[in-house]
Amino acid sequence: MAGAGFFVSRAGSFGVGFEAESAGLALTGLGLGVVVGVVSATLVVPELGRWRRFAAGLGVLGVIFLLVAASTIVLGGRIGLPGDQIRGTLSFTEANEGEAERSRVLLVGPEALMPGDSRSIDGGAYRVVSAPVPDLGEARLASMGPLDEKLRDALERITTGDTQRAGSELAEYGVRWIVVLGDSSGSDADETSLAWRQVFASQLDLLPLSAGVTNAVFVTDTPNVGRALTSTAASWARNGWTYTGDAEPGKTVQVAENPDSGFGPEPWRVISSANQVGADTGIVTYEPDSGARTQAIAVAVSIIVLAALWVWGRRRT
Amino acid sequence: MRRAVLLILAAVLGVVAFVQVGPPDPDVPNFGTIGDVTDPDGATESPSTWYCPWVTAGDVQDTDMLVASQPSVTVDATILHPIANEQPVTGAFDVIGPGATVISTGDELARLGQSPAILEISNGPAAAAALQYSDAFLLGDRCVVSTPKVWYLTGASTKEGTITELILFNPFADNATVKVTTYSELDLDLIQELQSYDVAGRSWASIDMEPYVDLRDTLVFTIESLSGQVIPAIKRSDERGDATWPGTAPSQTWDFPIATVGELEPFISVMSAGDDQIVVDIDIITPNGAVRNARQVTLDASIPALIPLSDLAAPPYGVRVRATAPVAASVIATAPDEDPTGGEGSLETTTTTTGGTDEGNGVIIKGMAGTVGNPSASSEWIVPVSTLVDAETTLYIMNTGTEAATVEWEALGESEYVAGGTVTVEADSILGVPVEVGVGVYGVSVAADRPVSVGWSIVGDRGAALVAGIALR
Repeated sequence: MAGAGFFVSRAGSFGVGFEAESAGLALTGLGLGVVVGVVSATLVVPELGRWRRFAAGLGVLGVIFLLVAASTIVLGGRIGLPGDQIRGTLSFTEANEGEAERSRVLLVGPEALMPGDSRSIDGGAYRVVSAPVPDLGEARLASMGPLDEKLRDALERITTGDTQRAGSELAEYGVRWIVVLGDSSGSDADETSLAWRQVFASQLDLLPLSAGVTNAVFVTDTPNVGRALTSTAASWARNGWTYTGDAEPGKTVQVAENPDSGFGPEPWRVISSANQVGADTGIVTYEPDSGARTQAIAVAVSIIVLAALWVWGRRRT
Repeated sequence: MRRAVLLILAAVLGVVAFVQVGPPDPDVPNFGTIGDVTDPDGATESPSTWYCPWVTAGDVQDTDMLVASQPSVTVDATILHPIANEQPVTGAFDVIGPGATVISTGDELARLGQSPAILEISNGPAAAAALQYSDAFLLGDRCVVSTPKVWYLTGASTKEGTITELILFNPFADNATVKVTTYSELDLDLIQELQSYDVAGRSWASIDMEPYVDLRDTLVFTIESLSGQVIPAIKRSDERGDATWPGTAPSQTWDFPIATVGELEPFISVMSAGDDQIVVDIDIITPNGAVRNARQVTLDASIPALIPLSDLAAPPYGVRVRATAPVAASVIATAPDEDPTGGEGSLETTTTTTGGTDEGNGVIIKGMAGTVGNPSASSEWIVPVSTLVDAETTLYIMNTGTEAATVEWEALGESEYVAGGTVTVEADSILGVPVEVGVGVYGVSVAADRPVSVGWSIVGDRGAALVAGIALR
C-alpha cells in the first residue's frame, strides 16, 4: 500500500494531476501507518524467532527514521509547506493606499515559482492574482472561462508583438502590475524569466518599477485600471467576493470576473465576456451557486452519518 | 508465499517510485518578439508600430511623418519630450484607405527640437517614413517596424569635415543597455564607454562618434542589446548636407532601386556579418540595362568596405548587392567636390544648379543622401512618399528579373483617387515614375506581376534624399 501510494504520488509530477498526487500521498501515509502498527505489534510478542527478531529490528529502525524525519518537518514550523514568499514579492502593491484592493497582478515566469496553479502560453507560465496577496482560494485555478480565454488572447497579442500596448490590453482585466518571477537580469538570469521580461520591456505603455521590488515589475501607464469599473471610470475595491464603492444611481459597474449570474445587483448582463451590474447601491454582491452549496452540505452530512454508522457498528460487534 | 509476493511488490513499487527522475524542465518560451536578427521590415496585414528616430521640429526645420495604408486606419503619433519626465506629445490621425497622410510634426504635434517619434497604425498593410527638411537641407528614410537584438549600421564616417551622430532611441518602458561595436578600415574598435551604454526608458541618446573614432573614412556600427531594446539610426552630415538612415539586419542580397541623383557620387558601404572572408558582387541596373558584376570585392570579417560606383554608369541607376554570406549594406551619395576617400576637397561651393540631365530640373550637387536597401524583391509595395513645392519626387522601380514586369501604381493621398497608371519595367532595368507635386500625394501603392524593388528620391535646392520602399509581407 505504501509502495503503491509512493508511486502514484510521484506520478503527479508527470501530468497525472494534483488530485492523484494527493491520493497517492494519503495512500502512502496509510501504508506507513500499517507498517508502524505491524512493527509495534511485533515488539510486544514475547517470543520471536531469530529472523523475525531481525526483521522487527529493521522495522524499528525504519519507524525511528520516519518519526525523526516527521519531527524535523514539524519542528521547522511549517509542517513541510512552502514559505510565504508571495507576500513579500507583492508588498509594493500597498505603496498607494487603496490601489491593491482595486487591481490585480499578472505573474509571469517559471511555472515552479508560481503560487498554486498557472496557465501557459507558448511555453511561458502566467497567472493573475489578487493584490496585495492572493487568497488561499486562489491557489487552484478553475477551468478556463470566457474572460480567461480573452485574457489569453490578449497575452498572445502581446507576446507575439502584435501590440505594444500591453498596459491597455491588460487594463480591461484590472491588471495594474506585471511581476516577472525569477531572476530576469544579469548573466545568471533564468531564461524563462528573461523571455517574459523582454516581452514587457518592449511595451509603450508600461513603466518599470525599480524601488523596493525584488523582481522585475512593470506598472501600467494607462488610465482606468480596475477590476470593477463603473461607467464613469470609478474603480471599486474588492472585499472578499464583493466590490464596494461610491453608489452611482442609474449607472453600471463592469466586474472583470468570468461571467456568473451570481453577481448582482440587477440588471446583470454579460458585456465583453465580463459581468455588468447596477451601480445604484455602491456594492456588487455575489451569491454562490446554491446547487453546488447544497451538494457540498449533502456530502458533509453523508460523511458524518457514515462515520457514526461505522462507530455504531463497531460497538455492536 | 502470498505475503512474500506482497512484500516484494511493495518494495518494487517503492524502488521504482524512488528512482523516477522528474519530468524535464519546460522549454524556454519562444515568444518571437526578439531575435538575434530580424525579418526584413515590411508591411503586414495587422496593426504595426513604426519608429522614426530622426524626427526633429524646431524654428527652422520640421519633419513630415508620412503614413500610407491600404485599409482605413487610425495613426496614433507620439513624439518624446526632450525634458525628462515630461509627458510625450501625442496626436491621432485618420487615413481613409487606401490612402496616405502627412503629419507635420511642428504644426500638428509640437516643436520640441529633436523628438523621436512612434507611429502606431491600427491596421495594415501600412508603412511609415519621415522626411526632415529646412531651407538648407533635406534628409530622411523609411521608419523602422522591427526591433532585432543586433542592428547593423553601415555608411558612417568621421573623416575630416564629416560628422556622424549615432542616435539610440529607446521608446520602451524599460531601460536599455547596449553594446556598440565600431568597425572601420583600421579594423575593430572596442570603445570602453560604449561596451555597456545605458539608454533610459522613453528617451534617446545622440552620440557624436568623432571623439571615439575620429578620421575614419568608413565606419560601421553594430548595436547589440544587452538588456532592453533600442532603435538606432545614423545621421551623417558635412558642410554640404545631411543624410540619415536606420539600422538593418544583414542579408545576402540588397536592392537599391535608386543609388544616386543629380551629380551626387554614390558608394556602397558594406560589411560582412559573419566571421569568414566573403565575396561581394555589385550589379548596376540602369534604365537601359544592367551591368552584371560591375564590381567584385573580397571582404574580410570585421573590415567594412566603401565601394565607389560613380564611374560605372550615368545616373540615375540602381544597384544590386549579392554576397556569398549575409552582409549589411547601405548607399551613401555625396557631393562630387568631396573626396569620399578622405582627402580634402573644396568646400566653397555649396549649391550649384545648372541645366542637367533631368529635364525641367537642375543637376543638384548640393547635399548628401543615404538609404538602406531592400533585402529582396516583392510583387507588392506600399511606399510613403513626400513632395515639396521646390523639389522633384521620383518613384523608382527596379526589375532584376529576366522578364519584363508590368507594374500598376496608384498614388495615395487624403482624397479618394489621386493618380495612377500601369508601366512596363524591362528586365534588368529601372524605371523612374515622377510623382506629381502639389496634389497631395503622400504614398504610392505598387503591384507588379513579378517581383520588383521600389524606392524613391526627392531632389531640390534644399538637397536630396533617397528613401527605401516597404514591401508587403
